[in-house]
Amino acid sequence: MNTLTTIDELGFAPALQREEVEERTSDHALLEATRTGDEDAFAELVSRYRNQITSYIYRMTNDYDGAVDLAQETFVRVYRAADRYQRTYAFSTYIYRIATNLAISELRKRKRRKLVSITGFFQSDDGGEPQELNPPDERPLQDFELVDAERRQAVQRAISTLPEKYKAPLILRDVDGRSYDEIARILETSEGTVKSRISRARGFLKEKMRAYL
Amino acid sequence: MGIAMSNKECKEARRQLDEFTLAELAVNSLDHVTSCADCSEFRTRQMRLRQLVGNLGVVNAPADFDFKLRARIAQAEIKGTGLGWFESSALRAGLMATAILLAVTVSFIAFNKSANENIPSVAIKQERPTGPQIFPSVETVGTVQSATLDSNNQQEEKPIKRYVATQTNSRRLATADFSKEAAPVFAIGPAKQGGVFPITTSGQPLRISVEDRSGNARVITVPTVSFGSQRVMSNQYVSKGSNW
Repeated sequence: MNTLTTIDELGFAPALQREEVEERTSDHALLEATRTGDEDAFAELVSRYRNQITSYIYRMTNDYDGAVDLAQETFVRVYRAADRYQRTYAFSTYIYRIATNLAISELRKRKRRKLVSITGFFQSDDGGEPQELNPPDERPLQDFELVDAERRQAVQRAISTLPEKYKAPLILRDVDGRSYDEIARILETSEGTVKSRISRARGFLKEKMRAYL
Repeated sequence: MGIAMSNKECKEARRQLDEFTLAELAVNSLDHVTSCADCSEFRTRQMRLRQLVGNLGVVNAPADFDFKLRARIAQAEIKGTGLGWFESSALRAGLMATAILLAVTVSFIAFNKSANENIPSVAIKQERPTGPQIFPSVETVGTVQSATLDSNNQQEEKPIKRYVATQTNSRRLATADFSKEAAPVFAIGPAKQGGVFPITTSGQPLRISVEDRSGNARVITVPTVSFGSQRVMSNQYVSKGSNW
């Protein structure tokens, strides 16, 4: 007669171990570990998000060096505020919110520095912020890769000219592929507002990218 | 009516197309979109735009990102050490209380020291001759002698020298100790041995008569300035209200 000596023999053990491993490696768990001084846990968090955050800020600011700098600042803030972190939302929402605030702050600083600009003549249709004049270069390029690279640059330039309130939701939705719900939480606004802004942003882009559509 | 209905359908179809993800947009085919040329065109352009934006992809962080981040965090921690240490409200309150206590203690000590320094100077001021009417100068009334310094010319001059010194350096006088010296004795002339100084000034008011060119005269009376000492010292004190 076989008798069970441990609970593992019931066959639940593998499932329990898998959950335990997943829990241990979740963003929340890594931040908890960071809080207790586990540097490796923080390094893991950085490796998970460094490219996403750098890319997101780059799309917002259209300046790679500045984006790297702000991405690092984002992680510094996460690290220093680890004690105050609350698990109300997903960690990704939390870190994207920090990154968004830093990027918007940077854009506003730039705007202040740009006291007089000829782009001020090109007001947006709704009387909002002035739009940069960024006409697409319609000259044909022979090489496919060059054409592709040029097209990407044109898209990036067009995005960078969007008003900041339209820029962040569009990037989060169409570049990063995030849900409306998450975008609303990141931007601390309603889902309806997010949808409306994304729709307006696409409208602007269609006008600017007419040559490529 | 038909056009209005069509516009409403277009609006709703485009709203839905806007909300679809790129994948959903590709597979979903709304009835209205297939039948409406404008909405079909809208859908095509929408898909194309979202492909262009979606193809931007992810820009990678530089290779030294982690290294620079570690350095930055270390720097922030060094900077933040002092601040974080001070951020503790309990510690901050304790430091504030200690600082206030220290300031009060220092002020109290300084005040006491200052008061101790001032005490001798006040005492000496009371003993010092204050004016010729009460303590006439040596040259006009008599000689000033010290009880312990009889018939010594050099030592007779000593008080005069000291008096001059008090005018130039009052702080030095303030610390001088006269307790070991006898009090000065004023030797008055033989006719006035009653301990009273003669007051040569008159008690009468000064009258000045002024006459202008046309012969108009005017008398100006200047009353005697009295500090009270004249009356006491010349035994002329009369009660208040009497005429003297």
